[in-house]
Amino acid sequence: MSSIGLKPGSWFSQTGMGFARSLRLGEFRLLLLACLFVAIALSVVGALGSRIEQAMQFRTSAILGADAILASTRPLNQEYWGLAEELGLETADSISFMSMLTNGQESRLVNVRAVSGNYPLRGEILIKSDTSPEGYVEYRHPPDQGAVWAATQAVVDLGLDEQGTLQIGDMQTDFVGEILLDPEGGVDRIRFAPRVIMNMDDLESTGLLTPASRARYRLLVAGDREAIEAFDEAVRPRLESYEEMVVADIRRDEVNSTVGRIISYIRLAVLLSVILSVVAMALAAQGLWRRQVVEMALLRCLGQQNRKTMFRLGLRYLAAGVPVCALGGLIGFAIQDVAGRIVQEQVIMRLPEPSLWSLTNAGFITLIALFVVTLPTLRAVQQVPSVILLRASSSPPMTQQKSTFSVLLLIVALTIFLAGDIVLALTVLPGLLLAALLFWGVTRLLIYVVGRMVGTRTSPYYVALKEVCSNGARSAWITSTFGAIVFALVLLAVFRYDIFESWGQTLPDDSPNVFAINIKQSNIAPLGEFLDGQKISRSDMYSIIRTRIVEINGRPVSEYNFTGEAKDRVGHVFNLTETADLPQDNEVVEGQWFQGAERGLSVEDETASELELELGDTLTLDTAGVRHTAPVLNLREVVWENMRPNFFIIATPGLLEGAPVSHMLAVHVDGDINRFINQMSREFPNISAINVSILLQRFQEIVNQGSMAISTLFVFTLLAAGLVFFGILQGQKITRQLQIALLKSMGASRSFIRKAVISEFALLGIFSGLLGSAMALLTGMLMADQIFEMELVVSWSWMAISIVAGIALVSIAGYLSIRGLLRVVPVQLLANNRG
Amino acid sequence: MIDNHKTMENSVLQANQVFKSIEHAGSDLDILRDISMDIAAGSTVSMTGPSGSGKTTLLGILAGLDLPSSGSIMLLGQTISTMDEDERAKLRNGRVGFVFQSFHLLPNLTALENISLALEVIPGSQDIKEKSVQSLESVGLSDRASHLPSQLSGGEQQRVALARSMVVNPAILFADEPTGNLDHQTSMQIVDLMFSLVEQRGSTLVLATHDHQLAERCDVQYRIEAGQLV
Repeated sequence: MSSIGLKPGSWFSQTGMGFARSLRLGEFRLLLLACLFVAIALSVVGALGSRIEQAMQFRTSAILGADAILASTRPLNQEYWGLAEELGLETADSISFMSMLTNGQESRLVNVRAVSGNYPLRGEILIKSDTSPEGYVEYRHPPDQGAVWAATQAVVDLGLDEQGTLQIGDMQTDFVGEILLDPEGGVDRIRFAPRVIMNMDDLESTGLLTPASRARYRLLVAGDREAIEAFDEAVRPRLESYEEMVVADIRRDEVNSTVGRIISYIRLAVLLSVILSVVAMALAAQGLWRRQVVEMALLRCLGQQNRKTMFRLGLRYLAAGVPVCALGGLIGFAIQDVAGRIVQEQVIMRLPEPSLWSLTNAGFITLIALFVVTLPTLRAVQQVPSVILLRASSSPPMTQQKSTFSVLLLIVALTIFLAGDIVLALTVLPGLLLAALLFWGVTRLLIYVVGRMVGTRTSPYYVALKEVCSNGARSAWITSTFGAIVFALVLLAVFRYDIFESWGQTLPDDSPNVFAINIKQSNIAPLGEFLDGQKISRSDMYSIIRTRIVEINGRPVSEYNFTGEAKDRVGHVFNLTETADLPQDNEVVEGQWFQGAERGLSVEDETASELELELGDTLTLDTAGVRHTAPVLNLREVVWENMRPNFFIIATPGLLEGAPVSHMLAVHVDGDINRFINQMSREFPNISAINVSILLQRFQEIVNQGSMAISTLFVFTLLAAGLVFFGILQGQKITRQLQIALLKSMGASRSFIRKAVISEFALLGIFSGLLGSAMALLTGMLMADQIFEMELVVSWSWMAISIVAGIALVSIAGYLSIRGLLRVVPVQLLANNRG
Repeated sequence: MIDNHKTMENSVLQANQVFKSIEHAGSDLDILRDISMDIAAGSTVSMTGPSGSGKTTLLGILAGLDLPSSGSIMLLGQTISTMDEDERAKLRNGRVGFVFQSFHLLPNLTALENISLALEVIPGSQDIKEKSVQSLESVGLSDRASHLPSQLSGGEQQRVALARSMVVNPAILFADEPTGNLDHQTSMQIVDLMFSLVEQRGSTLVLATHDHQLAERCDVQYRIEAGQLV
């Protein structure tokens, strides 16, 4: 007979029948469910993880408009274009210069950027739109010939309406859009004149660009990371003093820092889900094996040869595994596709297309995992003694040890494959293994101690205690596994809480949403009055001094062999501020903040590390030709993602006396931001204001999406943990059945048994909760420092919640697993046990 | 021992000076000693003895589920004591049936599927469903075809096990304490059914039991004590 309507006799039909019949076994279903989880997790992380990482790079690049920019004050050598083409890089170019823009009688000095047709290569230009729901439209190309876009400042100053005719040099042009955000329009850029973007093809008509013009020529390149690095390496040695190379830097991107944490969390959650699912697979395979021993012996009795039995069993796993792995891969692919679309739409990240390779990869790896967990049982088929059918005392071959070894190897391989980042692998894996070993050892010790103290009393609690103590190995095994589950869940819960907390701290409601720059000393007093008039409650004003590091400890920086970021840092002019107050979200990690009348510098800790600076080292700064030398007084840690003005170097007030100084203001405006900017521009024409609310809004969207992803993943991991719980309890069912039947036959009431079982699991829950949460908090602190780059606040309440959760989880799961058995009469339990 | 030997020409099973010993606590423990027997085709044979006498071990060795320490076994004309496990399995395939004390029905298979399993392992089997249904009918359980073992009583489970063993029309049926887990009345029904099916199909029955009444229904009766035929 065939349950699935196939012609009997063939291997195909036998496999189909075997599969259909095995589906009736809880252990088989658990094995497949765990398999599905592994495939989904692998597919999600395989596809989405790499896509988001690439997108992060894109996002950072969007700030530049490219993956790298080669800029020069003179026309660039055509060799650079050739080099980029050789490396397969996409190229675009721009030329920017200062010019007057005229609207009738009104004129304004603007920064004109003429760009090629494919500008920007990364990111978008946001043009104001009253008709679109977002309030803007994105463009990945410049305006058409004969048209320009202008920044808000120019629009206000020139009294431009939505459309209008302007004059730039010899050319008349149409104003067709107000720029809200453009590449290089990020918050950390100082621009002294509002931007105007025009098509490169119009440049000649303006007649503005001559060989003597002061202009900045840029070559923008985009492509594979390797190609960009190769371009960077090839170009840097050839750079002339007037040329500059800038490569998109993920680290300094405030949004990426947050996205980076989300990705680390996703990886951690997926890694833990995969590990838990693999453990569930192994438990299910073991449980299945105990069920299959009789079948294997019976098949041999009925005359089937061992190799055919192995083949039959192997095919059954394959027949079940292939569709399940494929389904898991597809579900994972669909999840990451949906998540990818959300990221793409909400975060405006250009995600690379999802690759089918990740789907097949996930399915294939899961199939290998299935093969690894079931291999010991396949190999054991030939060791099943047929006489087991005649003598109940004959023992089937034990596969646990081999299985444990192969599962451990599998987990190691998967961890390394998944973690990508070796630190995560090296933290989580030994953490889990150490936790399991520690749980095992400590539980055995506790059981031994408690066992010696237990007397003989007629109470369900003593029965429970006796049960735990007399089955030391089983109790230790349950505690180790439950402890590892508690470990995984607490670890995720702690980070979930902490990531949300850190975001909360990062983005308070009064985060600055308008930055104003180019503020003169004479503007400060009237500007204060203006802000009071606008009822702005909180504002931060910083002095801005453009300077350059020329010597370290008296030696010219050119004598140091700096590379990479350090070279960029000392090679370029940067913004420095003078202040006596430690800026918000800055923390002194070495030395002390400026005291009294001392004179010196405060350096951001990572910059100090790149430049190998220590406290007491001196820096010589060149500010408009005047040199000042000062010691490093302290090192600061800066939260770059706080969306506030941040500085690599801060000087004590008056240190760079006589240097040209402007000021920068960061304010939070509650009402109409554009109205505020317009009024400020009218009252202070020299001040440039930047609306960063769109950036903030996008940042918040990323945080919201990340929160959603994290919550979903937490639930996913919780379900994976549920599988392991179920696997353990399913494996115990036969023994429990016998135990309950015996207790019942000896006259124990249902309530007595219920209390005994719940107490037993509660005791194991105490062990698991205590050990699991302690280990999770220790690992968590290590990971917070090494991976998430955040401080984990460990509280006793967390510890207490974890322990209580552990007890509740284990007790409830334990009780639920035997609830059905409590209602059954003993004779039926014994009869089932016999079958 | 009551000797009722039929001729060697009709022999389906022969044991010649079979010994079985196992290592126990560093020394050899003899389970079976110098067992010789000759079982004729179509006969019914019982092996009785007290618990631990070695009757189940002997049954296992005669059926090729286990190997003797020395001596030889010839089953269906072939010496199985020199065969490897796969060769012995191949010999049993479709020609040997088993009934166990603990029934050993697979819990995830219905009554009908448990019976079909015996046919499914025979290469080239035809009409598996029809034959299985007939076999189930022959034990009076056609209305229980789709029931799982857990939904059947002990007697019903043993009837399904009997139907499974007889569906292949075995040349020889080995039964180990087939009524050991059943009450008296159910035992009698099962035994009647078993003898009737064996007779109908002309199979040989080799039965290990401690039940003297049951043993007396057999053509040949062996008694084993302390591993020896007495």
